[in-house]
Amino acid sequence: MLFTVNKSPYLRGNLEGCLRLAPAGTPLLLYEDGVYAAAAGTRVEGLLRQALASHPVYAVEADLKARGIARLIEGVRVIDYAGFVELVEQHPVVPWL
Amino acid sequence: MEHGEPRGEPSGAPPRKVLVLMRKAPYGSLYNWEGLQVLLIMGAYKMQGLVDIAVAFVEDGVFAITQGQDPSSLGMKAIAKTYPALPDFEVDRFYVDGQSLADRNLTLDDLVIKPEILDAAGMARLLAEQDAILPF
Repeated sequence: MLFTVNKSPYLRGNLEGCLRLAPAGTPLLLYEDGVYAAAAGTRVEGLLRQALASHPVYAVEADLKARGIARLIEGVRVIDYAGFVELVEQHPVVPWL
Repeated sequence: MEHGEPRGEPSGAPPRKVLVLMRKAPYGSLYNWEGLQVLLIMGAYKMQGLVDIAVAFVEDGVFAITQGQDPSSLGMKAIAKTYPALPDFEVDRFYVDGQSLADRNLTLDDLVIKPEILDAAGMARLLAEQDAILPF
């Protein structure tokens, strides 16, 4: 399973809800506004560190670049669209919209 | 003319105070872009003395004015580039919620404009003094 999150982590407990239910070890992919969760030093950094403790966490490069997010939390893996497609091919997708 | 239609000429009444409240991140939805279009249009009303315009950035709205945005690979234009041009359209009063900046590990140095930082009480006062608030 691949959990994909595209909403801002500051909204409606979206990321929090995903992390509560995603089985340990399943990869988590951040894209669109979801990538704000990967920025270092924010109020939600603890949430993402918690995610990194039990999931591989990916963030889409184009979305990071668009938003000017340069300083990432250590351990987040930056991927391009080809990497996005590869993950989707390898896992059944659970879009956490 | 308390609630009349905006007219082409100054009515002599004091300008109505309008606040555009930016609440959403710039690329995940069109809200912020649409708020920008409204600001450009409202600038024309301000030139006629009909309105006073202010812009406030709160919550994820602060992401609209961060430096370093490059959405070219998304096929979109950099939202942040438009804000520094707004004073040319008579829109030049900018405010930002300090808590929203701090929550996102941002400071004034990370922004493309230099809005006045307000605390929650200051932001509440700003909202209270408006005739209309347009949230995006």
